[in-house]
Amino acid sequence: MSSAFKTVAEEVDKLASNDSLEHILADSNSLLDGLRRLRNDVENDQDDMTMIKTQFKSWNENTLKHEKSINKAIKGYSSKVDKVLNFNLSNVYTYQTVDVKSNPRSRKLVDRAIVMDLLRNGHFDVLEHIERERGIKIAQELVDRFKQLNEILISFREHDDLRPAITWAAQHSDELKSIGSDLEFNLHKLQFIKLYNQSRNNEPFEAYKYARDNFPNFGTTHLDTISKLLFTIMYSSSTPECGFENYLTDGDLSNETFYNQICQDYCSLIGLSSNSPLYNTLLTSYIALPSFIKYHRISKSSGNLNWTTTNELPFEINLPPSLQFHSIFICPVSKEETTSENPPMVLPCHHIISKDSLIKLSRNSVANFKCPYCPRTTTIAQAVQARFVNL
Amino acid sequence: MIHSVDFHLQLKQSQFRTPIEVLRKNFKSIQKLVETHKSYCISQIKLIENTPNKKEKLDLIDAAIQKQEMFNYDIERRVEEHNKYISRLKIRLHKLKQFQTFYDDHKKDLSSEEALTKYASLYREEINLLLIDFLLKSSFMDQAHLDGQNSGVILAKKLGLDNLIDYDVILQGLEIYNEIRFHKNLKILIKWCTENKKSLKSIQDENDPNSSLKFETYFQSFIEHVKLGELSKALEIASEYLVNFLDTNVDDNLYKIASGAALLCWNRTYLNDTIQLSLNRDHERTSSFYDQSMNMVSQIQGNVSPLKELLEESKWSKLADFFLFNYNSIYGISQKPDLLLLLSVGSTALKTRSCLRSSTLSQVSTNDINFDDYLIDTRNKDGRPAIHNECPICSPDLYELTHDIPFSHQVKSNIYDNPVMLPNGNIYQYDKLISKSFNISGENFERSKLMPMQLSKELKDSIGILGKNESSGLLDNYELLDPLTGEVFKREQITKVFPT
Repeated sequence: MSSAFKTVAEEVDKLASNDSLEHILADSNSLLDGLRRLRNDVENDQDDMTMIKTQFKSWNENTLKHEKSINKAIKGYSSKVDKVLNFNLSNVYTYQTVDVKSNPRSRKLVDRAIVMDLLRNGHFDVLEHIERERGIKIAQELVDRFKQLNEILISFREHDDLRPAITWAAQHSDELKSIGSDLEFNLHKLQFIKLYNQSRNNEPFEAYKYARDNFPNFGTTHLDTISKLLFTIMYSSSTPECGFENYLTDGDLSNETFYNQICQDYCSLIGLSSNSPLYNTLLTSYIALPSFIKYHRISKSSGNLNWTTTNELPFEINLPPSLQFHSIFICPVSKEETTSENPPMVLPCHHIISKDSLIKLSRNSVANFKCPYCPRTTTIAQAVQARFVNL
Repeated sequence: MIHSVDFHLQLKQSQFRTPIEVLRKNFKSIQKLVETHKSYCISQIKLIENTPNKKEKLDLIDAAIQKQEMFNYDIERRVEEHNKYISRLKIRLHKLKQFQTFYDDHKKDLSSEEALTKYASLYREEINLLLIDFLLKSSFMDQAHLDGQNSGVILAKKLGLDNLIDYDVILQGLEIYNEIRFHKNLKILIKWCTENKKSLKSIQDENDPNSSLKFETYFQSFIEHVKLGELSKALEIASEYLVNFLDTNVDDNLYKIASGAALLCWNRTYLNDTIQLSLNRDHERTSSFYDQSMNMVSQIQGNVSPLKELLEESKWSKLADFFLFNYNSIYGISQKPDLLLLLSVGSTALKTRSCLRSSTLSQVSTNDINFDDYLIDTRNKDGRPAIHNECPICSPDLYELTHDIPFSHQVKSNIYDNPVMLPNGNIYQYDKLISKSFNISGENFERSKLMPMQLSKELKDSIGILGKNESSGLLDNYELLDPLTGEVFKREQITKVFPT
């Protein structure tokens, strides 16, 4: 159990369970009743004031007591929580930041990045407000594209209706294939399973018909899956636990996975990155931040760690593969990252080093030299400039 | 604190700070209500007791009942307010407990990749909160539209996150900010300073003992009176308030007051004229460097410009900024929207030296910011969609914005397995090249010549001997397509390469 959270949790509970204010309210209400009784008494010519006096006195004492109690609770919370919540992001991230206050252009860019994220998530109603509030005009064509995506997703998520998605995928069949997506087949597969499950106790004719209508197109690519799927029809009614059922409850057929795949492929086809850049960057920040915290702590205790190449972080951040978007090649000779100015060069022996290293090894392109990794000798003219492409 | 519930707690600490300040203020007003009501009751009871006349007595009791009803109503509202913020605290705590459960369940055996997929919805919620926070805090720049409902609030309510952010408190601060900056309303600021006297003092001690919001406020009010030519009122403020600040920070404040006092000698039109005059003469300056009177003019300009600054409109936005700094400090609201800081953190982690502006995008960075970048047809000539770079930093969304952010520090190559090179120098992962090549269905090349899937599978198994062995002659009949350039190559033209 972590300490700051524990403290905060305890303090919230303590404060929440303090019901002093309710008591003050209740006491005030009974004081009101007392006054009403007094009025009644006086009406009936009994003007004894002792009762209201005692009542006022006890209201006064109790209220004071309850005030003290809640005051103490609030103060206690403040001092304890202040003590444990001591993290300051801007102490830890000390580099250049995105600034919108002094730079109106940056502000517009941030606004636009937010608009794009909201578009991807279908918040059209909020966007209308933002347009008005911030004087932004979102291109209608772009809005329409995302509205179409949103309709597909809504009928899928809220009405369990795959047809709009299937229609769209069929229309863009070739493009989907060219980006290496088998979304179209997967949608048919899901639809087949849906039909199958709906009619499993009767004749699975609907599903069979669906399969006959739609699967043949995918024979060349997904024959294996198709035969397994159709196989389950044969077994469905008689032996429920034959093991083939697994094909129908496949893990990566969860709605969430599909939902994401539709979003991503749709965005790819309209020429955008499959995930929201703003979202991915912020997500990265949660993974990267601990490294900043660690570096900050170490540099504070050891004083002088601030060696760094200009405009580069002084420490490495490990990101998961899904957040690595470029092929990084570190030259094995110079240990430098290759760039477009200093590109990777392939030697005739198929080993790769950076151009700078190549020039150095060949003593400014005059000498033959031995590959640093195998016995073969070579000249600079034989090396081929290359680039790593991520698909 | 690496990936623990504390990590998240610290990042959203304002969720647990802001409410307590509201509760504190709320309690103070309860105390005040009780105090007034108490003294009223005491005197009223005495009055009732000493009134012999029954009719009068009843009237007094009726008044007391009415007063008590009002008091109870006020208290009830305060209790409701109290409970509202308490319930926000509870909901926020509950949210954090979700994080805790997740981390406790998967502490050791979870890579960050798995964590991302598993907690996707939790992270999405955190990020949505960052967006909402930014929409709220940046709304003061659009003062014309602040009256309507803020888009941050709308988004928060739509996503059901309105209990996780104290939008009401944030917006209240911005309202005062706008009053100061755009309506030059000092009354509201003076009132606020008085209400928060104690907290302001401690902020002042903590940050800069020499800067006082209260001083700046009265000083501004002094200047305003001078501007309007209301000298006696200006002097009144000076002698009543400004003089008091001489004890705390003699040098700075004395200088400020003195320069403010200098304003008493000149009225604004005079200052404007002087500066205008010297500006008009600017172009003559070089030629008449030795001209005595010219020297004098520039000297006057030098002396007068700090005074001019005092009269400028920007003084108001500085005062408003200073107010907002104090307001945010009191309520534990972060001064800069967290979105911007975290965006910077994430960008620097992602930014590599290979990040390039996509060539299809408009190159000129001076043009308008609109949505045209997203509508460019990125298809190749043969109808294949272009290969996207998925990198957020290369996207039109963030490329320009992250221009000044430092690069990440790379020490390890992350090249895929089985890299192969085409004659044009492009290196691909072999499997992906094959499947891409197979899937592409453009019109510009003969499909039958591309490799069928079964063969590519066999080839995959024999990748080890590729490029050395000539026995797989069968494959030579097939061609491969460079997905990037659309060029077609023979199988024998691809070479396996060895990045080390």
